[in-house]
Amino acid sequence: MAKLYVFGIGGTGSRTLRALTMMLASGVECKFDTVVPVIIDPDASAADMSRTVDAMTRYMKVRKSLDFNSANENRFFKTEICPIQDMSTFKLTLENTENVTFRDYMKTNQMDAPSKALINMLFSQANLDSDMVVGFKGNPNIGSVVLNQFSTSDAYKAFSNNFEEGDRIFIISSIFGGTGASGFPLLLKTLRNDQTSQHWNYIKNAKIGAVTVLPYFNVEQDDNSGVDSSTFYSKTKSALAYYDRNITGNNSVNALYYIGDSMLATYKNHDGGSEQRNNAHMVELYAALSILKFASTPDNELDGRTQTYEYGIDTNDEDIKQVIFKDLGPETRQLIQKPLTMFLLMNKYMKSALSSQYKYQPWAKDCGLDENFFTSQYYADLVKFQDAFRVWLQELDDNKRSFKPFDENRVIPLFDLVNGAKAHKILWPLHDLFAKNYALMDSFLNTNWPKWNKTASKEQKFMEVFYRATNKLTLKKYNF
Amino acid sequence: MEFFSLFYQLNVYGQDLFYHLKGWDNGMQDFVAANNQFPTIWLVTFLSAVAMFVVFYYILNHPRFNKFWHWLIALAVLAIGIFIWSRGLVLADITGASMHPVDPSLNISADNAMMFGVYNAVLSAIFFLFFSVIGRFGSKNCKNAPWKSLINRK
Amino acid sequence: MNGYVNGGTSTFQQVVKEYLSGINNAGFASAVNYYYVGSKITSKGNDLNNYITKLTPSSFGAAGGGATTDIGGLFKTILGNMDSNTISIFISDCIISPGSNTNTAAYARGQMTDVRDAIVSYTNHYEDLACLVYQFDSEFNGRYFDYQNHPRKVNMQRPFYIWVFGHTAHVAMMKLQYVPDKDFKVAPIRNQWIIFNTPLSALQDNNKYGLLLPNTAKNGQYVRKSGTELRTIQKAGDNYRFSFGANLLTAQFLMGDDYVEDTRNYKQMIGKAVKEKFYGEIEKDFNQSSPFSEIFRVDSDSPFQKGTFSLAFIPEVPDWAYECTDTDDRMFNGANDNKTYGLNNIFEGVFNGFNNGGHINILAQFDFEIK
Repeated sequence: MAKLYVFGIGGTGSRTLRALTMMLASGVECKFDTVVPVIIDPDASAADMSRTVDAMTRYMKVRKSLDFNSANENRFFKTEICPIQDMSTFKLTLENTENVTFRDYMKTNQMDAPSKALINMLFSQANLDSDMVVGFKGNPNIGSVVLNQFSTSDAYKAFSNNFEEGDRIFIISSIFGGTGASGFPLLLKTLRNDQTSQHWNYIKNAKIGAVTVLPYFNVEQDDNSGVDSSTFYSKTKSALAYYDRNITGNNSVNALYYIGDSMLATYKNHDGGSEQRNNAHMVELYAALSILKFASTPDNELDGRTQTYEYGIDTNDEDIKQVIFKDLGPETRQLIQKPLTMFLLMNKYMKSALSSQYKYQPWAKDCGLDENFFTSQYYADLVKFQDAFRVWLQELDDNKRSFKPFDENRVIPLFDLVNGAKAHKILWPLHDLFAKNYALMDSFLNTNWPKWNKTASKEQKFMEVFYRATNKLTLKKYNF
Repeated sequence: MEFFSLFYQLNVYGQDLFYHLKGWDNGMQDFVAANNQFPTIWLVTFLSAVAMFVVFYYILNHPRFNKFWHWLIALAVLAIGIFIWSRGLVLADITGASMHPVDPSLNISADNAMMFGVYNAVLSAIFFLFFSVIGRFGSKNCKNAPWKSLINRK
Repeated sequence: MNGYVNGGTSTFQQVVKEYLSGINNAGFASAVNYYYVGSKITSKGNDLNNYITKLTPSSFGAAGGGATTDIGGLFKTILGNMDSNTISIFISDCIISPGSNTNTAAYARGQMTDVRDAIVSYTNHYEDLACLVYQFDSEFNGRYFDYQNHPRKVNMQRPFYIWVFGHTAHVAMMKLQYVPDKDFKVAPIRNQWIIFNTPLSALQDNNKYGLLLPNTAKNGQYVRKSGTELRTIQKAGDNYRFSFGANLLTAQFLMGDDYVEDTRNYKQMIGKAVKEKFYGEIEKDFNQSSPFSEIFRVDSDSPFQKGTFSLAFIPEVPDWAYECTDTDDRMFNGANDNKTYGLNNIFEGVFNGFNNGGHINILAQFDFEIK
């Protein structure tokens, strides 16, 4: 069972991993059974990272009670997400960055004079004085130094020990930030060149893909902050040049995906910490799609020269303000439209109808899903995950450009919730003609499923019945 | 023909009414098959119960109309309908407005008609209950009405 | 018998002439032969006038012989000389005279036996037999021999009897159609009786009988399951009761309403054995549209036993036969003026003839299932 190791560097990495987690939870297909996310971010308290880690942790908790053998059809939470074996966290810890200025990190006071002079030339005073607890604040030059310690870290050792032949690696980074911009090439160099770790030879020859996210947001001008978005483009240009020589030019990645946007949202200028919490953006969603694309590309197509890809949406309107499923290309639509809709329907039912219906509906009674089940820890975890999913969708909607595939707060008629998709009326059987909205969902949930696994656990049955019902429902209502 | 009148043996609504419905002909001083109304009455009662059963469980089969009291509503509609029809049938016989007027030698009043309506309503309810218990398992939304079924555990 | 004839004007002669000429007029007989019966049978040809109108005491006495004849013997003679195509009409005073016999009781029983044997002998041979008897009164002026055979002069009204024997169908036709009762205009029929051994079901088309509805206190409290099945008989008033109707129309015509509605003629049967007399009432069914002619109400002090209840119509010796039986005719004192000595023995003999050797003369039977 090959694993896909996904390194998410910096804020963009975290947010992309969050998007990936949401998609995998909804059952979007991933050709790798196991995804091992590794977050590289010296900013220990970055809100994006903690949200992502929360989501992944909860994902794991929910998934632990589920069973994916051939008797079960459910694909929600199908792909396994787990940290590197032997590690208890998703985060790759950077040593010596806490409460330490860059100057101290570099141990400039131990340097001889010429070295000191060089340091002063390369790095501004501000840089040298900056403390790195929140990352490199958009300064790849700092990041490139600090992140060099990769290969000696415990996490990397654990990664290498567990890496097997056939596993693949994917790296997410932004080209314009601080952490991502510096970390990506460094990480890549380490992966391809290191010969000290245990399975360095597997790693060296493994298929590596990467997505590099070009600017897609601004920050508000703030002189007190170390982050200045007017420098994003210039930094992008210089990074791209570097990549051309040292990444794609020497084929050290097998596939490189580019994604960015011209319409820029403006975020509040927080230079890190628990306040650097940017709303989810569809660019991160597409970046996550590149991971899935990479996962599904066969080995022989990744041989030889670096394959480069650029993502685009399928619309004539360059200034489109709100993107819906119809505006996505057929491949993307095929991949995410149905699972996300199914997951959202499940979510909405759980929030709005379940508490009043589970006592009466056959789907709950026959499976023995009673009050005990709905007050269990498992259910609470699932609900929390669902809530995070809704928040994520809402953020995508609120952002510029907005991604609003669903009118997710719609109540009546319920099935108009997919923007741009017309819900068909179900005429047969007759009782489905009479039932509307959540009642229709109940009707589908109550179906007498063939090949039902009677021996499954309650957790499994719950997920199974919702998967099958929303699967059939989306087919009948929307024909997808 | 004996089969149908078996369901109406219980002497609750008046023995004279029983004889009349069974087809008592005063001229023949015996029951005449042509006047026996029990087959019709039984069939209407039985088939109405079956129809209500089919409608509730398989045509309407509505996930929001599948609780115990909804089943009771269906039962009540059936019983009331049968009550009205049965009572009306007997009253028509009493007033002579039907094909089977009551012979003057028999003592049948509007009270008997009402009791017969009640009796037949109860009978229809029993039929409905019977079919509900044995035939509901194929109904995906209503199989737990009137109470949880032990079969079909998933 | 001499006292009854006086050359044509006695009631006896008139009645007999009326009856016999009625028979001639009906023209259903291929031949009519008249006889006098005494110690021997004397043919009197075919002329009715000669036979009866021109009769005088002397010619009657000469022809018939003066001796008293024993009735039993006469029955034997008559029944012994006829077949199923014959109707025999026997006219007599039917007095049983023991004569010099001191054991009058034994003589009477002997007469009874003879009559019985006559009947049995005929029915053994020809099976079907009906015996019809009319009782009339006529002037009697002449010598009357009492039971000890002592004569005395008597001038008063005295009964005489006309017996008709023959196949039930023929006798029934005579009684109902050819010479019906209403044709007796000269003198009224005082009493009559008919007994026969053909079941009513063979005589009439509709033999319907069935339980009535228990809708009145009169009919009883029970559940009528069918025409012959009933359940849960409950007390109605003082006793347990159920009611049924039966069609005895032909019997009514032949035997008269009173006889048919006399409960003495009905017995409850167990299997083929007579169990007990009928307790209850019988009355005419006045319901025009009803198929029944009589309504029977069966009563019981205690609950009816479950099983088969059978009621059989077994005609008995009529009451009037006993009422008209004289036990001492040495003197007519007013009370016994119109009685006939030993009459009951003849009737009992006829009855026993029809109910001989364990055979019970059931003319109709009504069976019900009580559950």
